[in-house]
Amino acid sequence: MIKKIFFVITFAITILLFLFLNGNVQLSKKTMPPLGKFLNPFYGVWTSDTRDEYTNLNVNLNGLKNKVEIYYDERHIPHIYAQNLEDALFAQGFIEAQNRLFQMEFLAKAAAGELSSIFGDRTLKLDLDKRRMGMKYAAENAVKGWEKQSDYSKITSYIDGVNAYINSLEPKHYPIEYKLFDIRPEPWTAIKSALIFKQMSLTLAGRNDDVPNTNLLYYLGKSDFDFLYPEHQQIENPVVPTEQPYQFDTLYGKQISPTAIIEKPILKANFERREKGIGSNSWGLSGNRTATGKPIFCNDPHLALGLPSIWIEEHIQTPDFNAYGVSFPGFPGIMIGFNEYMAWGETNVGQDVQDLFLVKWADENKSKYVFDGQEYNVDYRVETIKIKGQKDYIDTVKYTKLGPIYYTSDDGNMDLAMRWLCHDEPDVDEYNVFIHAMQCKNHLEFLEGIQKYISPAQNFGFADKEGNIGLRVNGRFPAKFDQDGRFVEYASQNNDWQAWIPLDQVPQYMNPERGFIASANQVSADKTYPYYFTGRFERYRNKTINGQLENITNANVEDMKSMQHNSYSSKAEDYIRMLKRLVLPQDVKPEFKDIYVRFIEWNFEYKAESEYPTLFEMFYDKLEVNTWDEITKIKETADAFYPEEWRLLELIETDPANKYFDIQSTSKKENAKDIVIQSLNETFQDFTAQKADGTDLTWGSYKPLNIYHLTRVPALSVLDIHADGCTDAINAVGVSFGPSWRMIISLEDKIQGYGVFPGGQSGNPTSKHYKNMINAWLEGKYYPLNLYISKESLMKSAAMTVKLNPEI
Amino acid sequence: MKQFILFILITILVYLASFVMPWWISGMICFILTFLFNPGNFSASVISLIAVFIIWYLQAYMSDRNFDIPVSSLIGSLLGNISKEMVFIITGLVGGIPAAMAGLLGNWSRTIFQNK
Repeated sequence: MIKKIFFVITFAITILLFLFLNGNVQLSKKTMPPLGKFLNPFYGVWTSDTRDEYTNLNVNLNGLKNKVEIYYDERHIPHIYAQNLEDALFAQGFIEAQNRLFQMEFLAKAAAGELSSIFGDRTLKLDLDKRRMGMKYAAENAVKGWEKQSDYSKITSYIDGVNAYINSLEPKHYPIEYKLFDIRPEPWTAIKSALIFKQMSLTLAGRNDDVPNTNLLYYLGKSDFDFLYPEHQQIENPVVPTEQPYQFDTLYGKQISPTAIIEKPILKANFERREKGIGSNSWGLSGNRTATGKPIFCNDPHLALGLPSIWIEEHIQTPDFNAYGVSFPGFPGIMIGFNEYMAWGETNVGQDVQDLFLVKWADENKSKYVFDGQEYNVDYRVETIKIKGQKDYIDTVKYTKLGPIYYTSDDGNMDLAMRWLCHDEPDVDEYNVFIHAMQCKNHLEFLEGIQKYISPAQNFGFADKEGNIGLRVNGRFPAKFDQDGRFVEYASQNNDWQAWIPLDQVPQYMNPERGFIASANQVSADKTYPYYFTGRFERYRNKTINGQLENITNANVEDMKSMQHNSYSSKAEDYIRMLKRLVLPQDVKPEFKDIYVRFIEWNFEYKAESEYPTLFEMFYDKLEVNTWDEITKIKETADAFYPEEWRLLELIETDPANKYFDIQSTSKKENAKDIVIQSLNETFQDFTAQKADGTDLTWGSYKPLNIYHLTRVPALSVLDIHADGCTDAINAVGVSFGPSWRMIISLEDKIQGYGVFPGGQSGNPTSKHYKNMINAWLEGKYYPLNLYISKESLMKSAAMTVKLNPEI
Repeated sequence: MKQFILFILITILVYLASFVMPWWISGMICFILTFLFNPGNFSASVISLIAVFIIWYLQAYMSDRNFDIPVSSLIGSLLGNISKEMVFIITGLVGGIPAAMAGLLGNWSRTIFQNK
């Protein structure tokens, strides 16, 4: 009997042990991989793709017209040689999947709100947000529009390439992340490519300040709101300078009706401003400013820095074109790059294309809403969220004429519908823009091609071998009444967008007299531009870039490299100039006099090894909190944000007795100087106390850069990097954002290209090409981008060869 | 001699079957062979443990050399900053311990079956 009991116990333990090792295990907050499957040396992590697997891959694939040869060089750059465009796109899909399959799948799932199928209920909140935002709805609409286009086969060629790779992949060779999370690759679809692009729209054009602005307007009153939050600076360097008055007018530049804006606060709804850091720099010099007499074009987009890297470098050649640059894995074409005729690149336009409207319900069940006096039924979209290891979560999202109901207040009395450009069904082949760019032979073809681009709007810059430089603020822009879209408004046709700004009326210019074009996410045009243009615009980098370009002559590539790596902050300089004028050394506490004297002699360079940037950032934070105590109070109960940095400085210098400098909790009536001195003393106090505790307060240590793997698994990430730069400098390195691709192209007879990004070509964490470029990027070094490398030389030197043959 | 033949058979069959079957095939093989050989509880579990441990350890060790950056280091970080050598040992144990349990169960099943 005892033997039988022991047998039953052994049996139970054995079964449990096998089940334990076969499934994901939750240990405290960490999910462990299924250890049996994961560590199985025949199929598990030990057999993930390795350097040897594809050394010479020679496969026959359905969907190809002709043979395609791909040679990887020593930096793992694929050089694709195809006989026609469709085969080139097929090969692009194949190699992107070969190098970045998990990244592509992860991004598509993140955009669609499907992460919980991998990570369980800990990502449910994120998924719900994406579903309510209508991300998948937007992607489905995009594909609906694409399918109506005559050249839709271009995108299907790319998709076929991705799927050809997935189908050629044996389970034992799945990338490591698939084994870690015990999932398998799913077929690639046009919806997934659309989701990748929608995710970029979300990053660059998917936020709005409607709720904080409405709250601030309510609490401060119109007069104070307008005073503290002006939309334009007195002196601006817009993307497109106004050389002569605009020759057109618009019906829509009139004042919005004050009754359109809702007159109540929305409180805490997580509509706070996001972290600064997303943006880009781009500039082009005409030949009269360069040493070669030919244009130079530069671009560095600042996006979230992650592993695998957000970009993949590619060289694509057919008998019709020869192009080199970077692409987003999951979407065809080259987004930033050059060919034998020209170079192109982009920076983000901060124009607000996402507005919130208060919905008026016609019944208690919220099944009907009132719009311009008429009742309409809502449309229901049932969102099923798969959760790993649990039953599905069902959410029903209501859709109105303006878009999905994105937000409902806790008491259920307030529902906001989201009108977002990203949701609209495209009426053009927008997917073709970056495919077309690869093939352009001159700037006219390029400008024609980018007309089809919709969102996220970009400042498309270019330079060509004929000596032209130019820029267009490009995308689809709603023509709005003045102030429209800045606040939450009542849902009505009159408050909705009225039309699109015609293409010939968007800000654009070519071959300006000043000899350069430049954009750094600042306002697109100045106050005289007839259309109302609102959004989030950069205030400091553009000043530095324009200031340097105005003085440059005989520029060469080395000058451009050092400019892209420049860590000077004009914001720091502006503030310290103010300190020098306003605060004498004897004004601060005696024990801080020395440190103050050294501080104001700082050269405004954000160097990793310097303590002054830390000191300045600590000072600015104190100054902001001490000045805006009234707004901090609002922030305690409602979404709100502080006035911009430039406005605070302007007030200190021009209106030092303003009531906002008085700290409400003290009996004394403070002025700007009092606040500045108080902030300095507090900063020095904190700084010296932390130093005395042994804290490393050098800039690199105070705000280290973290390049996380997509899943944020530390073992796959590179963390605590001490880097030069800050978000206000050209070298705009933030805590997790920064220059994601630095590119310099000299448009000489034989074009010279240089580039680097903080990561590597491979998405495989065990590859030597996973993060091999980070050090070069940190040091401001570049790699040559060899557009003219011959197939013959690559055949001899290639580190890896892939030959794709059409199936007979 | 019986133990030695059992060890060799487990080693060969587990090694070959693992190329085409999921990881738990080692347990199935140990269960069946110890049921057939009935070498005693201690021998059944120890032989199964050692045979499968060696296969998993060696195969992982050999595979690790195929990577640019040893995957063992990465697994070590994932499992909580443990050394490469410990990763191979854990891999061997993750294969070996369930095999030992299955071997024990196989032998015991035979004993109970015979007693009936």
